[in-house]
Amino acid sequence: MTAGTPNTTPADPADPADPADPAAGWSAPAAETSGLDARVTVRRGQFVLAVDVQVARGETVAVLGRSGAGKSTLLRTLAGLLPLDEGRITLAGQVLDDPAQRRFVPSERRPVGVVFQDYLLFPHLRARDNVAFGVRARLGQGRRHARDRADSWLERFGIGELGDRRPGALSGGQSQRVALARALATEPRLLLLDEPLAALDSATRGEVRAFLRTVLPTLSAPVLIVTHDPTDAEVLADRTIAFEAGQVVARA
Amino acid sequence: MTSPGDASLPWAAPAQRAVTGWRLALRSRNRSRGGSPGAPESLVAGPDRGLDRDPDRTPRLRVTGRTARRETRRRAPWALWVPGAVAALFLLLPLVGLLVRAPWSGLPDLITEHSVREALLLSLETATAATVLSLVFGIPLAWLLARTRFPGRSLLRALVTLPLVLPPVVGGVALLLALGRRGIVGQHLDDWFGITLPFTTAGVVIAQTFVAMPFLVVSVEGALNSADRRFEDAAATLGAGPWTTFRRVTVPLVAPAVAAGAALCWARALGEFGATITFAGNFPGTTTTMPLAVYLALETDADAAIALSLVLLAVCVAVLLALRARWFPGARRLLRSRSSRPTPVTVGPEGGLG
Repeated sequence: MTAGTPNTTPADPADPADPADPAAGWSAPAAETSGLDARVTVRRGQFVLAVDVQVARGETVAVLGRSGAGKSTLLRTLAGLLPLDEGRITLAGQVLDDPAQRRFVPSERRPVGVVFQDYLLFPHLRARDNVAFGVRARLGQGRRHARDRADSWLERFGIGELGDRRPGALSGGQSQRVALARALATEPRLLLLDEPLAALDSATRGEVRAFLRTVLPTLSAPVLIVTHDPTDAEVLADRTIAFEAGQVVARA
Repeated sequence: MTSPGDASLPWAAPAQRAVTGWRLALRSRNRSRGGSPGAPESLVAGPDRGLDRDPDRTPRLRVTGRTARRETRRRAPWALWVPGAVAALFLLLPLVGLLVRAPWSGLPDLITEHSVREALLLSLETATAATVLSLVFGIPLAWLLARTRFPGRSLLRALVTLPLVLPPVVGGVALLLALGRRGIVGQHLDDWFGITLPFTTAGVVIAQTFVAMPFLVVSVEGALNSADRRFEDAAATLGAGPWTTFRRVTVPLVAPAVAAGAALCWARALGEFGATITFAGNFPGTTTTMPLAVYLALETDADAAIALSLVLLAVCVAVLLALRARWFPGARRLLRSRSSRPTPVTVGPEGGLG
């Protein structure tokens, strides 16, 4: 499986740590305390996912692999939707999951934002209230303030006029932006994107890809993108980790 | 003489069936009327064909497809439509009888009588109270059955739905043994708090809730089982705890099923007879609900019984139609086309009304 070579991509990685040790390659990722450091082992019947993933602050890493490679399982463990069987997840110095120490921070108390593959915007809430949902729940803000915050996020993503729409009346690209605004409005310290372009038609893909390329580098939080498409990985990420059958097969 | 248990069902059921029947009639009329435009539509597509070189636009194909499907539907085997028609007639006939034999001229006097107003008001109040109780306790129960795993869950589910099939009189007797003055719980209620439930209006509500709540629980549990649970995952990743997620995501997502379940529940409570007369008795003003009044009137004054039945029927139909306009699929399909309106939520079984 090709792992992609991100350093040749037009998305010039602004992270100086990466080209700093080309000899060590993947074995010395930037695992500062401010980023994500995950050693993940999950067993599900025959399938075993056993991978190490580190993402530094301000860095975007793509996890590349076919369906069934364990990408989504990794994402669920990081989001707190699936507990580890073994290993340890730390984010910004905080232990999120460590079965050996019987420590598990549930999803709702993890500073982790997720953009799901089909967005999972709440169909009964308007776009604005979808974004405000997390502001109220995670940051404990009042309704009025949360809505103002939501509006400014939508504004920032160029869809300020769509706040009154329900998700059913949004296009794929618009839904993607609302979903990203919803995740970022909770001020996460880790952003997870699950197949951010898979649900879009080819015309919209280019537009959303360009949009993500402008937004992701501005984030201070580490970003992890799960994708099956090497092109997306190359264009959007600073580094790529390739999965196959629950194992890391290449890092670049 | 019919047993009270048997008598309680026909009042609720035909009312619902009548609504469904009307809707079916309307739908099939629309369909057959839509048949004639079908042909002109494909004729119209003719001149259009010249312009229609764009391969993305294939209205012609879609029209023929729809026509073909309509054709196959028309060829229903007689072995199905004959018994089907008999069944429909059988369900409609009693309603026709009720309408034909109604004492229309004396009706205003009959239904404005004090005892009728009293019974109707009592019925509306108690049925509404029973529905509220069912919502407050039934939705959490449905959630527990659908979302949690605990020993004895399947047994509990079976027991919860038992009142659906249990003869209401038996339910009334069981309620007496549990909550009556000598009942296992009722004696303590009486001793410690001075609360007596049997033969009171509260007893009516208890009896109706016992019989009607399972309709709501079954409807909501089915919707919860088929709802997309990833929305709850999404809510958790946004920082919502279980209670917030339940209130702001889960319940709104299954709202159509809650509405359908509540409507069924209300209709069932309104028609409750067997458990009510057994547990709460038949005291005008306090426990004589409409069905009981109908039954009483039938012994003395048949016209009054018919008039009362008509009122009950009208109330049921009015409420179900009002709810339907807001919640049920026909109406929601209409809303779907308008972009500013709420998008329909995909929920599986939505109760029999949908």
